[in-house]
Amino acid sequence: MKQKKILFIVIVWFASLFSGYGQEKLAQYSFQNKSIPFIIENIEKVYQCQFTYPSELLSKQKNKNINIKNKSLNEVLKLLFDGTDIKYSKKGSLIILSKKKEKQKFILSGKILEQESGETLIGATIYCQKYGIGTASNQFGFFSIELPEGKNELEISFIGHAQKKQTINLTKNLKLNFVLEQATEKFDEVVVTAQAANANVNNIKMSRTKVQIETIKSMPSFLGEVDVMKSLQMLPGVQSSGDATSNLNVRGGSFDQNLILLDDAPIYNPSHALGFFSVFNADAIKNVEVYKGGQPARYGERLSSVVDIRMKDGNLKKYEGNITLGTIASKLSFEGPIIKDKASFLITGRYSYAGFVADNFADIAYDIGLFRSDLANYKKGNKVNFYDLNLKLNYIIDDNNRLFFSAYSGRDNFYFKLINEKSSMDWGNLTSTLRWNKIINKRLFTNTTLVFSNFDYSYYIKDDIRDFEWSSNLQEVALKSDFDYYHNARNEMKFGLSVNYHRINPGEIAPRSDSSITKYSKLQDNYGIEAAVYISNSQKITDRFRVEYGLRLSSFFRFGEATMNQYASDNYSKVVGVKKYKSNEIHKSYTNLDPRLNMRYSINDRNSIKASYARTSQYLQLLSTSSIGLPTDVWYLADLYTKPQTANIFALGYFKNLRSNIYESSIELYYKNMQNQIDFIDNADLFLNSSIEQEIKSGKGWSYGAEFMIKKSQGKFKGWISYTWAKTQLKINGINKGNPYPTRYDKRNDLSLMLSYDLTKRLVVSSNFTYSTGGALTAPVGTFAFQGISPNYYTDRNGYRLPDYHRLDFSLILKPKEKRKWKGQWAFSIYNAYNRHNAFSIYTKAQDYNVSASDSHMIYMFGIVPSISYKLKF
Amino acid sequence: MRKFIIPIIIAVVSTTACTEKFDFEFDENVERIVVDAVLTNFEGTKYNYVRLTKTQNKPTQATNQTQVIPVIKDAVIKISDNLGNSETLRYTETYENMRELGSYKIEHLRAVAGRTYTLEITWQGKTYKAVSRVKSVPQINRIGFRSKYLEAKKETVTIPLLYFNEPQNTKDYYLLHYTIDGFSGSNRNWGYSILNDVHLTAQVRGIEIDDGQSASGTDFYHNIPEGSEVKVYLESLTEEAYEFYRSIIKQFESDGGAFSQAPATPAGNISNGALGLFRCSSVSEKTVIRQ
Repeated sequence: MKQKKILFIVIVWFASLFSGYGQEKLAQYSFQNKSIPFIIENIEKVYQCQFTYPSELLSKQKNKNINIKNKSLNEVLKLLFDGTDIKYSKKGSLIILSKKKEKQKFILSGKILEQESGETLIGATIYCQKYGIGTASNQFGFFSIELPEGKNELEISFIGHAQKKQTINLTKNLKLNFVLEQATEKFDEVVVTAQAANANVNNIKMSRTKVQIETIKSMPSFLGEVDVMKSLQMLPGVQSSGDATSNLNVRGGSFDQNLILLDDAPIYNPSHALGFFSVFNADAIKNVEVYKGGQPARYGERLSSVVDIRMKDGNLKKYEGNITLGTIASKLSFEGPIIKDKASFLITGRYSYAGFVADNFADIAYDIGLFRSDLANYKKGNKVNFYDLNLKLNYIIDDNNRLFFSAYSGRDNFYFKLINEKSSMDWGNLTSTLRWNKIINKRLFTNTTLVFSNFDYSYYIKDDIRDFEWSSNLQEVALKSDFDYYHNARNEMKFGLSVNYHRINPGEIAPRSDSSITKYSKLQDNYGIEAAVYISNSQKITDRFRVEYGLRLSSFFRFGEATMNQYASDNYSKVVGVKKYKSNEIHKSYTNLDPRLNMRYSINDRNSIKASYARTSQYLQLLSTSSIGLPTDVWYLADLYTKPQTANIFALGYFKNLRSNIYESSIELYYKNMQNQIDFIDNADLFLNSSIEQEIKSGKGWSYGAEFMIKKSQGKFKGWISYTWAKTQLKINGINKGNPYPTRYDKRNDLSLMLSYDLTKRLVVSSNFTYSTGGALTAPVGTFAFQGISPNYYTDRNGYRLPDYHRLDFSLILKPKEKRKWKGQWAFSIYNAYNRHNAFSIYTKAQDYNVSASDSHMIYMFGIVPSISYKLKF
Repeated sequence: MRKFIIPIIIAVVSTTACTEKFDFEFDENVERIVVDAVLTNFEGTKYNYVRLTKTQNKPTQATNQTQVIPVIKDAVIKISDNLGNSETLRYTETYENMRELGSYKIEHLRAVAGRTYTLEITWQGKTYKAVSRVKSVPQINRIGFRSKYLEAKKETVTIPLLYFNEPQNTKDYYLLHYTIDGFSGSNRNWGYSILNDVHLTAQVRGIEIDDGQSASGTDFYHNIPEGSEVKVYLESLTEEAYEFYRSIIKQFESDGGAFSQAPATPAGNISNGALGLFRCSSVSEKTVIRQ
């Protein structure tokens, strides 16, 4: 019996041996590009198992490469079906295949807030590494993200705040607010992220910069006045119109082509003291975002750029404030809860006494023998004052509703003898915004805003016969609704509509004394309505490729009581009659459809290519005869004669991060063409002119350039280098003989360096350097003899290059100790460290006592200017 | 609250806003020919001449001095009217006034209202042409006087007032100037003013000579002593001549700096790149003795 048993085992062993041998011949172990059914057939043979599945299940599966040699069946199954939508289960030797059930997805929505103040954080990011899904909070701190059910580990980060890692177990749609703690000394630097580490590469938007208010505050400031607008001039593609002025020329656009928004209210004149300071008090500001191109469909109204400035909401938790005493201005800011965690306020004020300081220090300097030769021409008796007031109130009605009110008021008095001894100016902005945020549901967020903006100016001529006051003002009332719709992980939509009403009083003139020869007169008011709707979608096409596409449709209606000239031809020289319009009559309407497109292709985590296109249109423009802009320049609505400006902005960029995202770099190339650009004819007469159309001509313009930037925003040593090569020209029939000519702000090379170094945790030293080609100017070439005098003859329009501009600044900031209740901060700065005399203006005028000869003079606004300011936080 | 009171800040020195002389530098300066040509209905070479000079490079140099202005003496100049009358001019070395230096005198031809005149200059193989029509000018009815306080001079002076009938059916431009005992001004003063009829009524009563536009501001007037002879001139201008004068006056008002509009070369009516103006005017004049 035993022998039989042994024999049987031997036979079976042999049989199995032979059968194994036989099967090995039949079966394959390695498969190259083979269909799953084919592989399964072989697996059944090798592993003595049997598969069962619905026939259509495997029909759409891709071919596979797999090697099963020396692998267990479990390993083989895993290799074969991982990454497919097929699920397998084993019952004995039976393997049942079925379609995987898709993991259910849920929506996580809420707000990202700052722990200390309860302020909402704009552009804070939420990222789930496992699925590569992320989003950023919108302008009101709201986010919505679709995630698979189950445990999701999330990273929440925001500039200057400690990154937070939180695991959320999603079993249903969830509403959750995240709070981030401000980065202070107690945090390790590594934890503190500047922003989502690879935002430079990963964000779909190009030609866009978010400037952190802390960065702005750490930059060397002119006379200790931290200036938002001037810090933007350090960015590639952004230039200033003149030395020390706060106007911006973005990619060859004039300074009226920037939509400058303070809490959604447009600021028509962002300058204090003729542009030496901007109207934005950094203590009231939370966020600054700039678009130089590829503007989202949400923004319209201006051609070249958007500067979106958001005010702080006010601390919901505790009272805090600060006082700054500076060389030319002092500031106070105070904020706190009205009802804790429910309602808060913020109030900031600034007053400047620049004229008084300039006069007195010029005196002191002259007396002690400093800069005597420079100060010999200085004229005292200047009045340069301004003030700012910012107010913000916010009220959290409930989890889904929030109300905000913000207001700004600022006013300037300006009389500076060196610029003009015979005239003085007053001007001011007043804006207010009432806003209602509502979370309609987990996917839909809406923001409705009512905006009022007023700008007015007066101009006084103090000449014996013409003693008069000229005044003008403009108002805008706007109502807009914006919607953010988080459709799914691949699509985020934005849509909305807006209506803007404009009223402009272009000017009225009134005598100031009986001896004045001036009679009262007034130009007719201009009225216009701009209405717009937009829609855009940001779509993730593949993991690497994302597209944001949108459309903006806008219409403009010029209406109101008016008497308009009728002309024989389009060159508006011969008036053939007039036409009268009633108050509700439309003179002219225009409609523009502006497509917008942004694309990003990620080569990998560290490299991406982006492209953008935006068409923009603008229905009102500034008639400015000066190169730097005066508050007295006239805003002018598109009408029968002046068509709205339009532009096409194309950009292509390569973005690369180096050394674990510590260094960010980018190259952007842009081309912009502009239609209906206006300029003045030679010797245009603008004063109280009711037929301005006779003095201006319109034509086309174009600008192209390359922008380079390398930035390091982490570590003790931070900063950036930016370089721009650009060219801008206009071609307008009737100006410069119809030949192309550069704009005044056309600057070929522009280099900016901004570096800061944390010497200790409390001591920060920073420096910036700027260099640019000089602006263009129409210069006197020589003189010619004519009836007893020698008038000048000139170059072509803007045919002369001013000397190059360059300047080096330093600052040292001594921060307070963290633990102190009263925190004092010192800021020392030196503006124009090597006392470069940069041309602010070059003028030519007849010599005193000799009408036949003229001299040219250069005004430089600032030599070396050291300053100290002290800020006390409480 | 006392803790709020904190150390006052001191700033050191601020050297703000200063000016310095500036010389424009050009790679090359091309010399251009300048024409200053006047033809009127008045007799005398002072009212009928063509002056040919060259541009000068340094805008800061005084150029109204004889040794500085480069004069062109060897050009061939011809003036003709639309009726076939013509005259070839010759260069005259003699001159009464510095500003006549470099003049070619027009001896015979005079401007007649309604006629068109052509100026043709040939120099160094190049020809420069200009055409001008003569518009009529109203007679001056009366000259009056009034006292005026001049803020800049801090003195009260007597100034002349002008009375004339303005034709309302035509678009007219005028050039005004006056002399006191033959003296027309100083180097502080360019004694011309221009006037556009847009604000003028049919009866112009007592307009001040500089009520239009002038380059000299309050320096326009000089006191008229009692017993002196005052001559006031009212000349007709074409629109292009008016614009030429306006453009020069604009140079005095607008300095080309950062706050003003771009200046421009006065656009004259001479062809081929020459600067200057050929002006044909009707002149009316009135002489009074200030009592």
